[in-house]
Amino acid sequence: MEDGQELLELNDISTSFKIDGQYYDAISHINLTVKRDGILAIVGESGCGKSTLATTIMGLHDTDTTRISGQALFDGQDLLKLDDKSMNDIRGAKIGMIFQDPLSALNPLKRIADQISEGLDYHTTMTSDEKHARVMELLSQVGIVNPERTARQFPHELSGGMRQRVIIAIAIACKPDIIIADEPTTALDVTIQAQILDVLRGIQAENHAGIILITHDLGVVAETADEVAVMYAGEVVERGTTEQVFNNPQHPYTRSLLRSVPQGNQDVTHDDLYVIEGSVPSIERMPQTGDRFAPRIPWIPAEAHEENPSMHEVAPGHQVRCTCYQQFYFKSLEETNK
Amino acid sequence: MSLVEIKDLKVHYPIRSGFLNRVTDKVKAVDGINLNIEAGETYGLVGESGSGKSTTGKSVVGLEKITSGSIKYKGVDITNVSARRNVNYNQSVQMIFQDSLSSLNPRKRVLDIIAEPLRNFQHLSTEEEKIRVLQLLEIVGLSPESLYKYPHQFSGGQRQRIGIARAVATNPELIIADEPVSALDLSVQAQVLNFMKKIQREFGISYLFISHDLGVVRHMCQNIAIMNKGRLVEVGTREDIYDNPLHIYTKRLLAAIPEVDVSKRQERQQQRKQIEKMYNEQADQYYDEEGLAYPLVQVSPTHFVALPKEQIIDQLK
Amino acid sequence: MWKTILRRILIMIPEIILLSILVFLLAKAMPGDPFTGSINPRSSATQIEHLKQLNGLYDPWYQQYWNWVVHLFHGDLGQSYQYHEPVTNLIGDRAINTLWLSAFTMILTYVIALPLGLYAGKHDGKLPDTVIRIYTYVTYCIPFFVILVIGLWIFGYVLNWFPTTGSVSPTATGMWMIGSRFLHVLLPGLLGALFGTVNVVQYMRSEVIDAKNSDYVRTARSKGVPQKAIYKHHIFRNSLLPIAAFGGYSITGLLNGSIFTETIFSYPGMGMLFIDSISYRDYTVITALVLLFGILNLLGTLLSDIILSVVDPRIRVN
Repeated sequence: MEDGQELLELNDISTSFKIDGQYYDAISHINLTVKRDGILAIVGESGCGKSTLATTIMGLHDTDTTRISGQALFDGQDLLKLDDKSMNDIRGAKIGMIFQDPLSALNPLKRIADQISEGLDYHTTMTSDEKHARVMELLSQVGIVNPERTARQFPHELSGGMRQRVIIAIAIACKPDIIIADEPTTALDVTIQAQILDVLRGIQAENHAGIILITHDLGVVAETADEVAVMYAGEVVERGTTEQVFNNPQHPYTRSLLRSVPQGNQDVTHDDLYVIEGSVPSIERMPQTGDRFAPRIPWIPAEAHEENPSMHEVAPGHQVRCTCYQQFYFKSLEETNK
Repeated sequence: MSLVEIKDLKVHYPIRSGFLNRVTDKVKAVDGINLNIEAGETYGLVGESGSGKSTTGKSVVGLEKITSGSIKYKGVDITNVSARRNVNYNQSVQMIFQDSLSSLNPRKRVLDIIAEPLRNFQHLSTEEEKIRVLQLLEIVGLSPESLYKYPHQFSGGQRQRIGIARAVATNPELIIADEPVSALDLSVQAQVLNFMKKIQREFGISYLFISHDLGVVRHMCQNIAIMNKGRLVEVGTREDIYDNPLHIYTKRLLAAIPEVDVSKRQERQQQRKQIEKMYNEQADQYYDEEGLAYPLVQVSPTHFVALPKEQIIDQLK
Repeated sequence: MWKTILRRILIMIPEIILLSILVFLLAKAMPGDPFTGSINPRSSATQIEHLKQLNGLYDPWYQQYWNWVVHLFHGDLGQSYQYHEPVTNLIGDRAINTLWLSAFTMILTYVIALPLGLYAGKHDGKLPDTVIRIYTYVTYCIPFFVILVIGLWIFGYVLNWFPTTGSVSPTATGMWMIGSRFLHVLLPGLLGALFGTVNVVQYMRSEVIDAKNSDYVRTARSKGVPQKAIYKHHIFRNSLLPIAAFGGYSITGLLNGSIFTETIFSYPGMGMLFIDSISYRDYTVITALVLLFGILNLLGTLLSDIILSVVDPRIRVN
């Protein structure tokens, strides 16, 4: 088990959904790698396709209304080619998933212990005593003080933070190689968020898993991730190490996003935040050619954009979509107010 | 005289239990809050879920039955309904909610949603009403076609702006904004916050800005109160709270905010661990026997903290 | 949980008292009195007056009500004018007949509806779902009594597969008696179930669709639980919960339905008795039946609440 070993390789993944009889791309041509012991953050605003990417890897889409292309290479096989049965041997066992809303993600009628051990039922040959012991071990590992008691409770009897811990325990029950965490702290208070992120880091140190952290919170990314992929309108627009992307952002979207974070040194009545013009196009109206971010930076001349934007390496491991970053500048205040 | 003066506000809910459903205990959602909001300012009320911050906000608008204490608006106690009518309170104080989708009636058109407070308080002809709504739409930056659309046809940020248009329809002097941007994306959040500041500058509106997000509060508010388990633990200016937090709860809250600065990562984690350790070891020194915050004590002209005297001297060292 | 149930039962007591007062006052308001029709027509007005006085008909209403309740507790619901028989005896036999029919209809309803609803929900939008939904819509559109009449005509008279009247063949004895009883409830039960399934199928179908798209099912899939097991452990069980609670309420529907079914099939149960007594103005019987139907309805809701508090942990813990 070497550090930094490539666990999952996503090659040119596109997923489209059927809406009113027609297919529309939710994500297009995604290329990413997940490494052992690494946290890859996928960051973007709602509708950018980051959750679709997660559910695509997990094979959780309804095949009747979804079209998927590309490759997700894991352990020598392409996950996207596996049938439901073979995928069930991987889901929960090799790849675990942590969901956003901890209340609705748990079955309201089942005890916590049963929900955690359910994965063990299908992936291990443990006896019921062994399973019980494992459930206790997991609950302690995610920082639950009284595991015996919690195991017997129902989801509605727990607080939001406790439920999220249970969700994590479910995801790591079979010590998966990869953990996909989809907005794991969005529904939680900041102090609980800090604790949950600590739990995630602790688990990684113990299990040496690779983590895909999906979030819209740039702060969470800056403090947790090793590598970052920024997504906009279904595409990755910038990727690199966290230092590269945060300290030396290149893509206009990354730069705009970082600029709209409230800083706290501004005047409370007069200083405004940076606003990105326009809005994210809906999936049906997503432009299929050209730079999808171009309409939101109209002051940048059209020639600056590539016709078919591709990723450009600006530093080893640091890539940016389209060439427009070279000519991008922020509008001055006078220009904005015009 | 402040625009709003809240004195010793308490909102307690009875807990019923046992066979006969008798009142056996009470939840002290808000337990003795004092705060003043000045005209034209944005006052930040910060707390985590269950801290009582939303209950406080609802009490100010009159949506919550208060147990004791007083809320004065321009010097008039508005805790009873008739007094509220005398000062046109319901017209001058409006509210913006977090979840714009569920707070807007899905079966009503934008015209009717925004016109609702107008219909309640001002008697305009249909034509006048439409003109006013169009004005309001322009103020919040929505196109005139929005008039006949329904809430679900808008994005989250646009819906929040419809909520704001409704709130400003009656030219209020105070708006209670309960987590107005928590459900929004970063770029949309920026739009809504800028917009709130803009109408404040133009119309001199005051806000009670209720939020759990210390980053947003720092951007919006000059005066801030931190709430914990129904009581205020620390009150002060932006600088007091962020540069010189004294209560462990404030420190912990500040330490928990993830920062967008990669280079500080290690430092922040260290700091967080340290404060968490301190919190676990000495939490009882910061709270009374009931586990609630102490009364506020003044430590500077603007800065108050809920700690016993000896503690404060320790803290200031 | 026991506390909740006990409290729920206690709440029912005032409900029943209120119901009984209402029924009693209604009965009082109806024309005639217990002697109408049973008195020798040649009795003089003074004799009748005397009888009325003797039987307390001029007492204040609450005293009369109290007497009525005391009699009620002794199993005395008065005399039927039409049959000249105590109402208790009259209802006794018929109640058992109605119970038979209703229980049979209910079991049949769920046996048919649950798999149909589950299947339709599982394959929503596909052909079998469409067929099942068309079936439920069509059935829903036809009034219940029309279904009964058509069913009776086709299967009873034209095809002659089932008996068309009564609850048991008069010549049947011993084991054959049970068989004959069963044969008599078969057609009305089947037709009743045909109608009753409509609601349950629709309800079950939408519950299954909701559960299927729920976050906890997605969680289960992400654990690698096979589809079959997900349906068994998560979807079916969770969908059944509101259906089980609905079960208690459906007693109301069954009782209402029994009025049609029994009348059309000349099946001697409470429903037919009710219609009969209305046409003969047999007030004591009407009053007793209204009270009984009312109490059964209350019991139905009680049953629903109890089922819900037993199966749903969210309610169990208050």
